[in-house]
Parts: sequence; structure tokens; C-alpha cells
Amino acid sequence: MPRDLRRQDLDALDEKQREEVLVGLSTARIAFTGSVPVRTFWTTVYQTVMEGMFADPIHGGNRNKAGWKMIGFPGRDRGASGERGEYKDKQFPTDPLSIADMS
Amino acid sequence: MATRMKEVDAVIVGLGWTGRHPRQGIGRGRLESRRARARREPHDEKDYAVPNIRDELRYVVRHDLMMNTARDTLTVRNNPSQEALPMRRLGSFLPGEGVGGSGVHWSGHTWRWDDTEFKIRSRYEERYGRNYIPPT
Repeated sequence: MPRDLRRQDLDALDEKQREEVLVGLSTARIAFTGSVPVRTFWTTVYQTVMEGMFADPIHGGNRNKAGWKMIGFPGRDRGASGERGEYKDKQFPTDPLSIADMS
Repeated sequence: MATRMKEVDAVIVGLGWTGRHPRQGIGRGRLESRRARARREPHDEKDYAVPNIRDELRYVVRHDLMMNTARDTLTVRNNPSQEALPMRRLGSFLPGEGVGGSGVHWSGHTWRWDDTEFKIRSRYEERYGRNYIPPT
């Protein structure tokens, strides 16, 4: 890790530096001394972020389906093969549906 | 905790597509049998109904239908000189939990009742005779 990034909180860094840290972790160019292997750490962080961003809001993340709206995911039960062709590469016309919306 | 059950002629462990076949044969031969399933209560209609079944985090990522490796697991070693260690994360090998086996756990069989399901017994009896389905 570059010396100027050591012992600093991630949110205190500017965007370019943050990106440098994330890329460093994901490519194992950054390692921890005497601690968890960086692959294990990164896999867990990445998986957790993905779950928080894109899992159904019933689990506590993806609040107001923000993650789904961001990527245009239509939600539960809207991936039916019939509709898939119709909406390919197009904006889905309604708000995404979550499990709670359908219960 | 261990449960002591009445002694029987045969015990079939697992009630998936495989386990039900010997059971049917044994039933015909009038052996007394008992079926045992892996732990968990049978899945009910809530497990499979839309929209819950669409819960990818619960089923696909966290393997909710599969063995809870925090409580019960297998130990693995790659060669005899290693110490066998418990498998705590599931990969491509997915031992299921509860009733199901190949139907529920690995084929994604869901409870979606069709008109025919309610007439299966009558249809079999009509075609193969009243004794085709052994008494339970």
C-alpha cells in the first residue's frame, strides 16, 4: 500500500485514493500483516456490499429498492421469459416489486 | 437429543424420490418400515409460495434448504497425512435438510398444485387397479 494511504480512515480519503485502496484489496496488492488473508477479507466485504445493495429489502438493505432502481432491476417475478424479450435493453415501466410488496 | 423408536424391519433414511421407491416395495411385501428424514420439519406451503421462493439471498446464497454447517457438517481432508477439518461453507456439494432430496433441494421442485394432483389416486386406481397403491 502507498505510504500516504496507511493508517487513514477510508472515508477520509479522496475518491481516487479510495479507488486505489479498493483495487489494491481486490487484486491482493494490499495485504494485512499478521491478520486475515486479504482474499478472505475482500471476498467477505464484496459479498456483504452486494447483499446490502441488491438483496431483497426484506433483509434490511437495499432500502426503498434503491439498488434495484439504480440498475433497472424489475424485481420479483418480473423475469418471466415472455417479458424478457419485450423489455430487453429497455427501461422497465414500473417500480421494482419486492417480496414485501407481493405479500 | 436421541429419540428411541419402536424396532421395525427396515428403516429408510431420506424421503426424496429415491427413498420413496424402496418404501413402496417394502410396503407391498408387508414389512414394517419407518421413514426418517434429516432433521428439520417438513417444508410447508409458505416455504414455496410466491413471493417467498424468490428470495435469492435466503435460498441461493445462504442455502436455506441445505445442511446448516454451523451445527452439523462433514470433515474433509485431501490426503491421509492431513488433519480432517469441518466443512463450514457449502460449495458445489449441497447436502439437503428436511424432506426433499433430488426433488426439492436440487431440482427446485415447487408445490404448485394442478387439478390433476387432486385426482392422482383415482387415476392410478382406475388404470392399475385398487391394490396398486399399498395401504399406508
